[in-house]
Amino acid sequence: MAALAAGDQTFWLDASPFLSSVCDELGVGELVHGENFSLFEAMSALEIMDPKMDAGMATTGFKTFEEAIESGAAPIQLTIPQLVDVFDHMFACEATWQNGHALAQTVFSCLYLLNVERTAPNALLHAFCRSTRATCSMIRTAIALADIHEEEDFVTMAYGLPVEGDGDSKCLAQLNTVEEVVARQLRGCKGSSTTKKKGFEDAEPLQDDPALEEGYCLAVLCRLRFRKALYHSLTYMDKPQGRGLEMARKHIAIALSELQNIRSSSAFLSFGQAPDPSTESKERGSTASGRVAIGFDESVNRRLLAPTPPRSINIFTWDDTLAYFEKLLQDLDRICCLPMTLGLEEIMLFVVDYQKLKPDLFARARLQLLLLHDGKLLGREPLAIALVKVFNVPQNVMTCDHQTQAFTTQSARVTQHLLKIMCTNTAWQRRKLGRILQDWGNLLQQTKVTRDVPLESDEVTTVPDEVMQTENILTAWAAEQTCWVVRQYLMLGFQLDLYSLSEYCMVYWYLDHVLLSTLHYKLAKESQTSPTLDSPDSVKKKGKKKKGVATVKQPGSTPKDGKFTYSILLLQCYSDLCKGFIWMLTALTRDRKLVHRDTIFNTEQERFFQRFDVLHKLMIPAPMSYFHFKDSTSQLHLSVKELYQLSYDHFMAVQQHLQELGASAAKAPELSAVSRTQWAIEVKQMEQVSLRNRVALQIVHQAGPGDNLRVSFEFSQHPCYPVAVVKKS
Amino acid sequence: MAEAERRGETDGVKAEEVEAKKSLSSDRIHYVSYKDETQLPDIMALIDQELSEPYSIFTYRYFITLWPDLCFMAFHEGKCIGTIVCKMGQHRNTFRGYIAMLVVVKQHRGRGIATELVTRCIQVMHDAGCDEVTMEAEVTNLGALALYGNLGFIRAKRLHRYYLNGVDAYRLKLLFPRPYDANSMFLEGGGYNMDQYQVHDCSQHDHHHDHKHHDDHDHHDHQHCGGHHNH
Repeated sequence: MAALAAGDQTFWLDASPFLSSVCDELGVGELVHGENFSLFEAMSALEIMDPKMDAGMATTGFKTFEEAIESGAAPIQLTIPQLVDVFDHMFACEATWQNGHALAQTVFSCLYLLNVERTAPNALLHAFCRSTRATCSMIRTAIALADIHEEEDFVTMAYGLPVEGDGDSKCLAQLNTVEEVVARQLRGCKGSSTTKKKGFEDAEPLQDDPALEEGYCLAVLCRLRFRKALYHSLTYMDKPQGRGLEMARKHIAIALSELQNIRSSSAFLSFGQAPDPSTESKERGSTASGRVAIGFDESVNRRLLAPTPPRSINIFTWDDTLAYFEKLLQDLDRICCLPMTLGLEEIMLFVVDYQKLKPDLFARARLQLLLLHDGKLLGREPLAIALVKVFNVPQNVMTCDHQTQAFTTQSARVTQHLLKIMCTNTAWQRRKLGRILQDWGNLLQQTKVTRDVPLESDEVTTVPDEVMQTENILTAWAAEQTCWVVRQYLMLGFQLDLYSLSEYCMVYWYLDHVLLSTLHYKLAKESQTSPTLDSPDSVKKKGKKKKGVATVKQPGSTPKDGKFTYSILLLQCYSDLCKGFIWMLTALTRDRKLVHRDTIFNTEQERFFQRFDVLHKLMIPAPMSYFHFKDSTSQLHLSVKELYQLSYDHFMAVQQHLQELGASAAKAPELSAVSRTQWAIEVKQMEQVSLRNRVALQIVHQAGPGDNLRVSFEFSQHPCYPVAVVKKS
Repeated sequence: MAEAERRGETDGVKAEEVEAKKSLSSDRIHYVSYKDETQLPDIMALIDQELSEPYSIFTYRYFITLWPDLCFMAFHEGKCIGTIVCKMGQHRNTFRGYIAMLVVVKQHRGRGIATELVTRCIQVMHDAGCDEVTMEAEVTNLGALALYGNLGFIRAKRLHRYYLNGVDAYRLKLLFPRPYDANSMFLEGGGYNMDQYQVHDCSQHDHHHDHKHHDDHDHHDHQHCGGHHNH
């Protein structure tokens, strides 16, 4: 073929005959390709026109928006029951979208939303569409800003969809207007039903049947009010430094109560519906009535999908939709309750406890935006300042010592990163924690290594004792934090179900080591800081310790304020649980009640190395080898029965710590409501774990050689500590 | 088909030792090492029918042309009822095997066919000097997870909504023993790093999608290598 010059002279030729003629010369498996196009590149290619690969090739439905509209798929004049269905399905689409599906397949499968201006003649529909779009836009912006999502969590790309509209800022006014009209109509029909006369107000009835008018008014009204309250809550949560949180809470409360009304309206809306014999299809419906909403068609957007194979998508059912919004609002409310006075450590604890409630992405994004606004903690103070409060080092050292300052700056950066990681989904969080560990390790080295350099002359002028002490404080802090990250990393493995039964023993063994290291550095930090506590000056600086410190503390005594004993006791509980499991698992294995099969290609030693590889790169907690593990868990001088007893004793110790933990609850200082609740839950969980495992231990302990007992483990009580279930086999 | 079966009988290459372990129930299954493109339609048909993720012919060619010795087929009465497709290559500091696809048709599961297919591939990888073997499996695929667990794989990571159907995946890893006393190595050679200058900012690596941006191979694995059905 002659080469064609590009430009105006370009013209198109049908190359098909040419291609088919040369195709015959290609053998099976041959490919015409450029030099830099290997099989690897070929693999990333999508096969065009294969519906499994090419999102645009779904052949059903309308091809374009215009075609859909011309066919009457989205009439502007809707009956009220139809309109309510549209509202409901829209909510379902929103919930589905927030759970990671493409806008084009969810919210913007709504033909009304694709051209909101078109809906202007229908004031109710128009107001609803505008406010939906405005809400979605706020949510999308918040998630994009928080930047804690993977592409599987959420699609921020709009792919050319009209996600924002000029008039959307006026949506509240429009919502108010239509709400007023419907409210008036509701009053009117209530009046008419009591006086058996036509209402004196000249409102147009929403629909024809007077007997149903009130029900429909109520159904429409609660949906409009929910929309409005949701919009308000999000707007208020957007205000910096938590200034709108109080107002946001009010609107969240309204939204929750309207959601309750929406739920109650389901009975009315589905009444007389569902003559559909297959009740199953009704359960799967996305509307309160159980009908299919009109005006939705995702096929018109197929060309707007990402150039990847299409993800399969199921729009939320109506029940799931209501449950989603209810949970979302409750999770948002918990964020709004976060005391703006919390210190960094309490905030970290809050995030961990908040994650235990499994909040959805948007709630986590809102939390992230509140915690780190403009790089400042709670939008108020730079993290470095917050850290100085945590370090509690003498003021003169902080101002004079460059190394302390550099360390603080570095720590602030790593801490900020950690705070962000902790808001991501837990699967990703664990992977990121594994990676950030090295940063913490480096921080620790910084305290150790840089201090090995002799102090420069100008620094000698500061009190060397104080510098030394500062060094110890900073080392203890970095070590404790590193241990904390490692602990979180290991414990998340249980929640993500990464460990198999044959690995439990080594994981609890390593976790116990990490917990004891944490305990060590926590105590070291406390003992470093405690002398300064004796001066009233520093007590004042240490604002977060509150009154308890000044009253309880006596010179020379160990710190006894609530927070101190609380975290120490908790670590002891965790540690004793670990030991309980280490000995229980060791005994069960030796007793042949747990059988671990040998594997062909490797041994437990390789699995140990794989599991803790990332931890072996740290100085603290000190790396532990497989041989160390085998050595310390073999305990050949103890019989199986003695090992059962040993395990029992540790579970018993947990029980005792838990009682003390309960007593320290009252004394615990500033904790968020979420942490307090979570803590109470966890105490109960650990009680159950301790109790049930003691029962299991008694059974296996008393079992004779003839009893074929089988032991399995269930995480039915606590996410990280299982319960042994003994069964006769 | 008959030809393939015949070849299977004479194909007693690398896996005599595992051959011996085969149970009686699977003695009518013949395992065939991949030979040429004429087998590709069988393999493709089987995988397309059983796995949720869509693969193009280029995906198959990428794996099978480059690593023909890492592809096996299982035949029962002349019919291809199972297959495995893998690759291996340098991945950062390790030489890594990767199991891309594994399929055994439903009525033949539970007979150790998948285990046999995987074992053969892992043996080849081991002999070729791989340090480790990795793959992904759906968190809901308990059969596959048990199979790989029994072979010594650990669930190293969880990947949120990894598959197009929205299901999470585990990244499974099998580490081969090192040829020399490994454990002292593990702590000293691979031990913590005191080099100040290796400090680097992890945040720069933290894209939204670590298995895409961190390791380019996995990018494709994600798009193209999906569910593993077996047992």
